[in-house]
Amino acid sequence: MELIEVQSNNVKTTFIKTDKFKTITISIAFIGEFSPKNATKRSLLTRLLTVSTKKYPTKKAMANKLYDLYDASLMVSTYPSYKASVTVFNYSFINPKFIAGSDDLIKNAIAFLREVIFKPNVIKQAFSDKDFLEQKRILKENIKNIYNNKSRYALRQLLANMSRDEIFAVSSLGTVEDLEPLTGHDIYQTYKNMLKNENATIFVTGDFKNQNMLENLKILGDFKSNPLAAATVSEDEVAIEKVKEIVEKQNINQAKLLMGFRTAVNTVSDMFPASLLFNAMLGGIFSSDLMRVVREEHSLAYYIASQVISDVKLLIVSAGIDQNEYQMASDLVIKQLELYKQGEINADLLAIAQEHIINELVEIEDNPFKYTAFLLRNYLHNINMSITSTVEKIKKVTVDDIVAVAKGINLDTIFLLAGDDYHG
Amino acid sequence: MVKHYEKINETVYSETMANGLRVLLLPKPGFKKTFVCFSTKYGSLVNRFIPYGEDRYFDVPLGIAHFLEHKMFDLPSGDDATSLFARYGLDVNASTNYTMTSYLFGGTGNIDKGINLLLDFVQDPYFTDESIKKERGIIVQELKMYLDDPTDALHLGLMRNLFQQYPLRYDVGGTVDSILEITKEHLYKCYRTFYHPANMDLIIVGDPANIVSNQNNAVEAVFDIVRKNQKEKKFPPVQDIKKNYFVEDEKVYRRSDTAKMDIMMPKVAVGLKLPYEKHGPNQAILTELKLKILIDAVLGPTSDAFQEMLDLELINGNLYYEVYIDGFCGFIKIQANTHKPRQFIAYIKNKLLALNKLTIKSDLFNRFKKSVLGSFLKSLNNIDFVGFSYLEYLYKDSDLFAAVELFEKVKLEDLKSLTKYFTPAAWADYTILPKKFGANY
Repeated sequence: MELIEVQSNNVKTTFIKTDKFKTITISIAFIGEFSPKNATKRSLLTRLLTVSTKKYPTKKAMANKLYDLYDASLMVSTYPSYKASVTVFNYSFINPKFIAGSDDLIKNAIAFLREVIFKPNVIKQAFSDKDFLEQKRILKENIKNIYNNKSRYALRQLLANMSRDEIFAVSSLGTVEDLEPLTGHDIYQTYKNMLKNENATIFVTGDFKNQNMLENLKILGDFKSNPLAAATVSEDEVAIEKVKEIVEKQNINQAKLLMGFRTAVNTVSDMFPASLLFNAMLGGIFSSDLMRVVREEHSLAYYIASQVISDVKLLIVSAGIDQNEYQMASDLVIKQLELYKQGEINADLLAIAQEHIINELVEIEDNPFKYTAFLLRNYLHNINMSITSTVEKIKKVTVDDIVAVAKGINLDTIFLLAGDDYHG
Repeated sequence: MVKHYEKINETVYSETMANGLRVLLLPKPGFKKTFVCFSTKYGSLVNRFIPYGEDRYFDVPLGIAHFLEHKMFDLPSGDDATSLFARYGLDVNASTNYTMTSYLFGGTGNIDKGINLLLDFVQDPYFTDESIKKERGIIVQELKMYLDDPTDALHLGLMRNLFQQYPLRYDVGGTVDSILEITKEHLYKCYRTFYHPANMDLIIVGDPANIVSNQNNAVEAVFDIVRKNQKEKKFPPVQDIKKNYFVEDEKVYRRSDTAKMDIMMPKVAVGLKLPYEKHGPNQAILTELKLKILIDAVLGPTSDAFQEMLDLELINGNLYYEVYIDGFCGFIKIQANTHKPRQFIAYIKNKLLALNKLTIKSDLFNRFKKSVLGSFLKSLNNIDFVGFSYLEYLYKDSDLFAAVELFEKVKLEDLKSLTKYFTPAAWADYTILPKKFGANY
C-alpha cells in the first residue's frame, strides 16, 4: 500500500494505491460544526442527498443508475467528533479491469458522484417537496424506532441522563421535536452551508494510474478548503458530585445495564494508546476481566462489554443481565475498576490486549473504508499517526500506564432498563 | 488440486488428508489478515440420524448442534479455548446455522499456531455433566436475548408458519425446554458422528506469505502445517452418515399469525416456501441468484412497486428481502416496518403470486445481471465472507466462484422455470404488533 498526497479539486487529496481490492473507492469528507441546532438538519440532509438528484429525480432512476454502474454503492453518513461534524460520502465501484468492455466505468462513476454532491433535486431554493416530506416521515420513524433496539435505546438514555448540556447528549440522528418544523428550504440552507463554509478532503483507494485519476476527478469540480473551525476533541474536566442512578421499566425479558464513566484521556492525549488497552482489558475483548468475572465466574450476563468514546472522554460499560442481579453485576464492575486503580493488573492480560489491538490496527488496511476513516481521523485531529507508529506506541504501554488511565476514570451515571415487574 | 478462476482472478488449492479432512487454501496476496474456518457439515437441521457405529435412527433434542458448539470450547485442562487463542492475539469464534457448525479465527500473525490450536481443540471433545448444567444457564440467556429482538422473533414466527415439520421452523439454538434435555451422551453421539475429519473442512483465506516463513513455496508450507497436525492423530474409520430429512411439500403450516412486543411500529414478514427438492451441482446457488433477480425486479428499488409502496406509506424507506436455500428446502422472505400491516401483506402477496407469469424485459434483466455481478465482485474484498460463504455453498453442492461464471450465461428464458414456486399454497405471513397501540391495527 502506497500513500500519495496531492492537491486535487482545490483540496487535500490522498491516493491509497493497492491492487488487492476488486474495487475503486472514493471518500469525500466535509467537516463543519456539530451543534444541538443543526444535528437534526444534517441527519435529514444526508438522507435527501442519496434519494435523488436533478438528473436522476426518483429513487428508481437513482437505483437504475447504480445498477448500471455494476452495483456501485453510495452512502452518505454523518457523525460528531466532539463539537465538529463529519459528513462523509463513501462511494465504491468495481475496478473496470475485472469487467470486459467497461473502460468508461471510472469516468461514468465519477460523473454520477458529481450529480449527487453538486446537483441535488432542488427547486426554488428548496429540496423537492415529494422527497422532502417522504424522507422527513422516514427519519421520524427511524428516530422513534430506536425504542425497538433496546441496547441502542439504553445507551441513548444513559448519555442523555449523564448530562443535558454536554454535546454527547445530542443524538446525531436528530430529534422529533427539531424535525417537525423543518422545511425543504431549511435543509437547502444546511446543504449550501456545507458546500460553502465547511472543509473538504478526498481519499481514493485502489489500483489506478495517478494521472488518469486526477483527470477523472476534475469532473467533480472544486471543493472548499476552509479552516477547521470546531474543536474535534473535548478538553473538558467535569467534576462528579454524586453518582446518578436511573431505572426505566419496559416489557422486556432481559434487562440492560449501562454504566457511564468519565475519563481523563481524549483522542489526542499521549495516554490514548494506553486507554485503548485499558478498555480492551476491562471489557473490550472476549478474555477481558469483566467477561471473566461477570459472565464466566458469576454467570450474571450473556454479554458484557466496555467501549471508550474518546472524543468526549467517556467510558461505557454495557451488559445484558437478569434484572434481579442488577446490584451484584454493577458492584462487580465498580470493584473491578477499583482493582485497576490499586494497581492489580494482570500483565498476561495486558499482553493479550496488546496483541489484540495490534491485530485490529493492522487489519484496518484490509478494508478501504476503514483505512480511509483512520486517515480521516488524522486529518480531523491534525495528528500524524501511521498504522506502524500506532502499533509501536501500543507495544510500549506498561502496567503503570494502565493504572494511570484507570485512576482518571470515575463513575458518573448508572442506567438500568428493566422489565415491568422489576422492584428495585 | 488447483482451480483458477480466470475472470475474477481467484485461485483455490485443495487437498484431502489421509483421514478424510479436506483442506482448502484461497490465497489473497496483499491482505494483512488471514481467515481460517474449520467446519462440519452439521447444523440445526439434523435432528434424526444413525449415530456412528450404530444401526438405528436416533432423535436428538432441538438446538443440540449449537449446544455442542458452545461445549467444544471446554478443554480437559479446565481452560476455555478462547484464552489459548487470545494469547496469540487471535480472536476465535464459532457459529452454528441451519447447515453447518464452524469454528473460526482471524488475525495478522501467529496463524500457524492458530491453525494448530483450532484443529486441536475441535478434535478433542471434553464434556462433563457439571459443565453442561452450567452451559444451560448461558444458552437460556442467549435464547432470551433473541426472543427480545423483534427481528429475530419475526423471522422465527414466519418460519413456524411456513414449515409444517421441516426443521427450518425451529430456532438454531432450540428452545428453553429442549436444551434442558441435552445430556453428555447426546453430545458424544453427535460429536462422533459429525466431527469425523471426513465430514469436515478447513479453509484458509489470506496471504500465504504472512502465514509461513518458507517464501519459496508458501502454499505447500501452509498445507504442511495441517498434514503434520493430522498425521499425529488417530481417528476411527470413515463411515457414511445417514441423515433423515423431512420431505415437505409446498403447503404451509399456518397462513398467518401475529404476536405483540414492546415496539413502536409493527414489523411484518411475508414468506414463500420453496418445497423440498434435490438440486443438482451449483443449482442451489444459481436458483438463489435467479430468484433474487425476480424479487428485485418486482419489489426492488428500481421497481414501480417500491415507489408505490412508499407513496401508500406501506413501507418506511426500507424493504428487506432474502432468498435462502439450505440445499433442499428454502424460503423467500420479504419484510418491512409498516403502520399498515394488513395492506402491506395484501400488496406483497399480490406481487409475489403474479410472478407465476414472467414479465421482465430483456434490458432490465441485463441490468440486474450487471448488479448481481458487481455485488459479487465487491464481496470478494471481504476475506471472512469469502471463506465462510465458500464452505457454506460447498455443503450445498455449489461452487461459489464457478457459480458466478455460470451466472453470466443465464438468459431471461431461464427464469421461466422459477415460476412454479409462486403458488398460493406456499405463502404465509407473520406480524409483530406494538403492545401499546395494538387497537389501531
